[in-house]
Amino acid sequence: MSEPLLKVVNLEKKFPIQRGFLKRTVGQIHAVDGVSFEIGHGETLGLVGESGCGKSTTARLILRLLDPTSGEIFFNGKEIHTLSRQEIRKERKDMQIVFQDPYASLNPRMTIRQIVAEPLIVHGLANDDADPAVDEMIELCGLSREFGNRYPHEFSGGQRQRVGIARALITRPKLVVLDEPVSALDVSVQAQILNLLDDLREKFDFSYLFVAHDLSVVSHISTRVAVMYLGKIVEIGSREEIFDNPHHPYTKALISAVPLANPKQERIRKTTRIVLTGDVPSPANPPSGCRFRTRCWKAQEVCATSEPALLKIGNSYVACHFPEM
Amino acid sequence: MSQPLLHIDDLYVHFNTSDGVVQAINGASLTLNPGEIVGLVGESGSGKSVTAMSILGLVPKPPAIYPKGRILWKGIDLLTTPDRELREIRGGEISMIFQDPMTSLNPVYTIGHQISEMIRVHSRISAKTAKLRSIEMLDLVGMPNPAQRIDDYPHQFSGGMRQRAMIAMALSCSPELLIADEPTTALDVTIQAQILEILEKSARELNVSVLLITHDLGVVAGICDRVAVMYGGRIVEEAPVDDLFERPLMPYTWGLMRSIPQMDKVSTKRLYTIPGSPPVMSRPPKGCAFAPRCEFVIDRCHTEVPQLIEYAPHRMVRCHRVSEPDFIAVLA
Repeated sequence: MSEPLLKVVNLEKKFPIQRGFLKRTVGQIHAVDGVSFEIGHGETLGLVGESGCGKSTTARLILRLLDPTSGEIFFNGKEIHTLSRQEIRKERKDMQIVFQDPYASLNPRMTIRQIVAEPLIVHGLANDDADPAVDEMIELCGLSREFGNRYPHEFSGGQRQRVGIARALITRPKLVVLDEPVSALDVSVQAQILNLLDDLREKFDFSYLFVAHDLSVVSHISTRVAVMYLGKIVEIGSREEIFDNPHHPYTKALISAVPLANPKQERIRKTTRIVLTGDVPSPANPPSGCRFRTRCWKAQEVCATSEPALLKIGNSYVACHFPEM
Repeated sequence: MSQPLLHIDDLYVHFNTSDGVVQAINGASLTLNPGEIVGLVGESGSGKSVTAMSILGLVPKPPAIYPKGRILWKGIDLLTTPDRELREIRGGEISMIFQDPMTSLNPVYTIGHQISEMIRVHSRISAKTAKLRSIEMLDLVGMPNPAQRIDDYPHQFSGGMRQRAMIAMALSCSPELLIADEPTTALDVTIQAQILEILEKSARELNVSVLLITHDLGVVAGICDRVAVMYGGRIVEEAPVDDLFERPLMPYTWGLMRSIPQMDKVSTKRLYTIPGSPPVMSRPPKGCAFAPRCEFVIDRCHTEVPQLIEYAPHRMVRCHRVSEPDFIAVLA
């Protein structure tokens, strides 16, 4: 088998909790705690989980927008985690990101053409924004090239997200990290962007890391799915396996909690729905052993004392002492 | 038939802004019967929140103006009710919960204090009885250890627990109508499931009508009896929940249902897309608000606003083409 495009091994990120005038460190938030996964060429990995589970932090660590506390990141044969600031900038030509908020992530003083051209200029691939590739990319992302001279405030959320995507793709990256790319958009506009992402993947054959909290969206776009809970991957597998046959109790509960737009089915689902009790514990003070045990209906003594490893079950990898079969 | 609890009759709400007049609501009509859970669905800017705020008289005037329409609460027009009387109704007979529980709770008072205050404003009972009632309400919404947690401040609660406290507060004066404006949008899915379950259970138990405002069709499918779809400041379709999802009649509803990715129908097929984006209400389209994005548009749609007609019993729809004999077959 060929090398995967991206390989993450035991990635860890701790944020210090600082208090008081002297900013003394009084504790640590363990945002990402030993995450490992791979993304193959042309593959879309969906990374799902609830707020605070570390999915966005993981995405930013891969691009080195944040520096990992420990762990290794191999991208395209290079050791991303050891590169210097300057070296990593060169690598970003091949790894780009699209952010959630299309209002905050575009510079309001730059025209659309300038925004889309900037990565080309930064990487020395073009001298100015007159490069024909810029207009071409703007059109590929479903905007008319006349829009190039306008400013972000003249556009709707969906159109701005198209600009964000055009900017990410202009350098023809190998990996595109999408951090909640459709969650700020209206329902009727979401589908446009999801289809655009599908089309572009077919055309350019790159890999996506799709970070989202919406399982319906993830199930639509992903080829593989990783489920995170409190900084750890609890289950990772093919989309079919995750959605048709989830093994981890958390995955099961998560899927069962999603309300479907189908009233008849919802009435049946409601009777069998697994409604988790309580809230996600604080990542500053996670439970011992399995982190999900405080909300898990299958938890036993062993769950509190030993942390389950990510083991192969069927075609998925699952971190649970008592997985569903 | 008994009198409806709430009847919004041809409501118009406009806002005077520096950009000109924003026509947020352009003739919305909706009826709510006692004990019913009705969903009001729409995208941002469709006018659903303004509709809800208007019921409670919470829209500041100016900039808002009400050129036309009535909001009848058990026969009384809330738009012309004096503020003093409206205050009695608001929080008493009609209460509301909002999307973000943190901004609707006062950070310097305990949860118990805030619920008791609400109860005591609307009924003459002692502080002690009010406290007992608060504990009872928190217990009803599934708050663990309500007798202790009543002395906690809002920041000591998680998002889901705050929303529970909001529901407890909203239901504490035995309202007849609860308006819930995107009550679960800020919450994670597993917490959303908890809150929706509690909302439905307590509403049915106390026989409270609910007007549930949301953009999420899944949320509506789960707990509503009837659903009204809003677009461009008007109700474009209204139907019992099963009918609406099984056979939408208005092209917007139809398109919306086909454009959302469905977890249970995993496929790599392309999603249906509604082209363009929602209308800008300072310059709304002249005819049907959906006409510029509609794939079934005819000339008439651009010039004439369709009326909300009763297509079949309990099925209201606003579309010029729905009366064509073979049009419904096209949407099937």
